[in-house]
Amino acid sequence: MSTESATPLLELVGIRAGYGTIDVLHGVDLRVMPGQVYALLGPNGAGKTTTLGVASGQIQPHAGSVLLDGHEVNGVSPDSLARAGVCLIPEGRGIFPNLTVAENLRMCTYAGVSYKQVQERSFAQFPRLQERRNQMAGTLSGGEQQMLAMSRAMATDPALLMLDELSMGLAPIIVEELYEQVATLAEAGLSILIVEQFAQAVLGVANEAAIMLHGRIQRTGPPEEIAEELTAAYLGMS
Amino acid sequence: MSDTTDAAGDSSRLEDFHQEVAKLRASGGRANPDRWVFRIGLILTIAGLAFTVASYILTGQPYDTEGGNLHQSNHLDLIVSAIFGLSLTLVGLVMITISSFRRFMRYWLVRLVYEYREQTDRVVGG
Repeated sequence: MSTESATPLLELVGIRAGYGTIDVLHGVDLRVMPGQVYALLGPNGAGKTTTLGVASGQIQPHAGSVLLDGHEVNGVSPDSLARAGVCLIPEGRGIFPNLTVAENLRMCTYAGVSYKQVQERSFAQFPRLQERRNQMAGTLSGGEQQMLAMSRAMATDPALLMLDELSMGLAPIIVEELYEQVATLAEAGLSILIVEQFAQAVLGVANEAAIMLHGRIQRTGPPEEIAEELTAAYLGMS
Repeated sequence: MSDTTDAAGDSSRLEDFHQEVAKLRASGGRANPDRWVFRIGLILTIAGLAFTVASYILTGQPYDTEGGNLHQSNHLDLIVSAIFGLSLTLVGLVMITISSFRRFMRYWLVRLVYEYREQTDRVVGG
């Protein structure tokens, strides 16, 4: 079965969306195939986070269709999508800063997974979290917070993982470590949509990449080709 | 990772996902429902006012007479339509008020959430 012939796990068709009267996306088309790592790149304000908001059901589009596995899901609530297996790690990580690491992990047992399982999985994936289990999540380093966010996401056993600015505010070595985990997840068959402003790390693990500018996808293609065009796109030369 | 589809396609998680998604009922969704409530309210208000004013103007028209008798039923009809127009206006104004209030309360809530988050960050940071 080739990637071309399979039904996309997530497909956005002609999406126009925004906030109130302000339109941010002006006709976005995007396809994430099963098992694919799709990198959505672009400068600040391009509409990347809004795209994730639409894909996760948090923002209703003014026009266009959101398709999951070929089914239109416009208007389906974010919690229903999350229960089905669509998981978003938002920018800012979305952890509870005034709870401990263990308590944060306990919070994701709502998905029906036992606390023991969540702990085992999280600590196996990120041993550093075990050392910090009784520490307040807000006092963790940025990288550890991102690890905690990823652990919580993986505890829900998602079919489609969406990551918003994984590298934001993190040291390059931590970003590299996190993307190694992303690559491991991708090898296990998880479909991943990554939004990034800084492309270097993500292009190493992506199968497909796109450049987004001013609410439109300007270019889609293999990461190697996209990497060449990025500088020009960011500097407004394309 | 040139073609991960085969590996993924066989996974039971993906099968579960297919079933879960098939169960989802798409309502079609509507971006910014408050905007629609506001628009409908505005249309109702304008239509209601137009109805009322038209009824008022028509009461000034000469009555139909038949055999020299004045037909007061026309006048009563116009009173009924004027009341209907006023009712439409009232419903429209209520819809406009509700949508405006909702929008205001939402912004207020967002502001509270933002301030709470800032405060938590400060406390944790300190």
